Amino acid sequence: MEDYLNELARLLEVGDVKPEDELRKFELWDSLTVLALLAFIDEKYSVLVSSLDMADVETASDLYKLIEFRNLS
Amino acid sequence: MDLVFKDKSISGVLLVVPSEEKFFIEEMSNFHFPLSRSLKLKEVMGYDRHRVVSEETTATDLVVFGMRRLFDENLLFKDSFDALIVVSQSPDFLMPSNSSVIQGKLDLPEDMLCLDLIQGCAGFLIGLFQAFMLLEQPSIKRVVLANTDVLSKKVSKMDRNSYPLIGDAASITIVENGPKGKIFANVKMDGRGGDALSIPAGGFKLPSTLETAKMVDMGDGNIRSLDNLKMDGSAVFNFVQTHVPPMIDQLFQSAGISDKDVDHYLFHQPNKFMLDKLAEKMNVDKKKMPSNVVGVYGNSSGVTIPAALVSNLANELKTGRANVCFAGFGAGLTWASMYLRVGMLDFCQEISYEKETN
Repeated sequence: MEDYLNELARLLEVGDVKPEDELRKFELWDSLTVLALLAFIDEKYSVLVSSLDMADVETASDLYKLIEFRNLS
Repeated sequence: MDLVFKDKSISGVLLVVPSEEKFFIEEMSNFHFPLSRSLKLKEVMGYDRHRVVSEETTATDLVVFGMRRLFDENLLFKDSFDALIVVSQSPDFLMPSNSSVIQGKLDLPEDMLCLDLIQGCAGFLIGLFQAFMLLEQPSIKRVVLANTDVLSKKVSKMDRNSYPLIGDAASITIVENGPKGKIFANVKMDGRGGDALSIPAGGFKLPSTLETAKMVDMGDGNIRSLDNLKMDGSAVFNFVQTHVPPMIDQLFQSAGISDKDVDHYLFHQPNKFMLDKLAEKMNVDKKKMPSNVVGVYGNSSGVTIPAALVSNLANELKTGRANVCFAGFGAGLTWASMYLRVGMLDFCQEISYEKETN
């Protein structure tokens, strides 16, 4: 999870991101960040997350749980 | 499905681009996006310049201009080809078809097959398939394949998802019989995913009205109408990353080749980001996969593969030959690829479209 949170912080250009942080509250949470994040998740975890999946995601850990679930299944 | 064609070749490619260049930097203020984010978008996606037609120029104008140039320079003759295939999603009219319009404007012979194919970003591949199949007929010795789109007219200037990357262009590819050799290809389609790339209004299902022309904020700061082209960027990205690498694996398998045999990967050019991610996923040297078309001309749908060929390999392919892997993917959804030897082209160049007076 640490790699994931670090990448998230890098893309959002903030010091750090905590699991409970709401993604929409970040100033740089936009379509560009989402696309770059999806590419990172695909590369790192071989999981493709769609924009439909993203509609249900609120916090940083919500998205990570989704990745873990897909990665296992 | 896998396809095999025998003893066919490409003998010339002409790229026609509108003369007017637009710059991303100058268009940034149209997008509801902080300046720093626009600059980031430019860097990641490789946006810079793009070519778009003026209000009165249509898809057939670009092709007619290019073909007249070929006639003028004796690179093609009016009676030296037997079929004209026009691949486009920008019809001048709902009736008659673009190929018939072009035949009429150029005063071409009657003894000819004119055929329109409605295809988007895989349109160069689908057009080649059709050209190769027509050449099996004894009466058809040479085919002119024209790819042309002016989709900038359908993209909202306030849609940063689509406007910075859109480009207008046409290409004219001469396809003929010989020399001996096999060409390997494959194609797949999925109509269930069609919503990812669409123009909702303007057809028979939902004709354009004042209502469909209303500009609406789509919730993410992008403003467009139902008359405009709509692209679900992350859906397209996922589609490309999941479907293209296995397609190329399959192509390699059926052709009995590996990455070492391929000199150049000329793929559709949606943006630099997507091509870079594809190259990484496929373990392909980025030098073998040009990704510069979107930042020089824009993404002109089915014309981007000829644009990548002309702008990167013109000299190499006029004087020699290379093993090339083409791949197109987009609206439909459609994805297709081809492995063939290309070279010793009679012509391989770019010209700028200027409005004709007649």
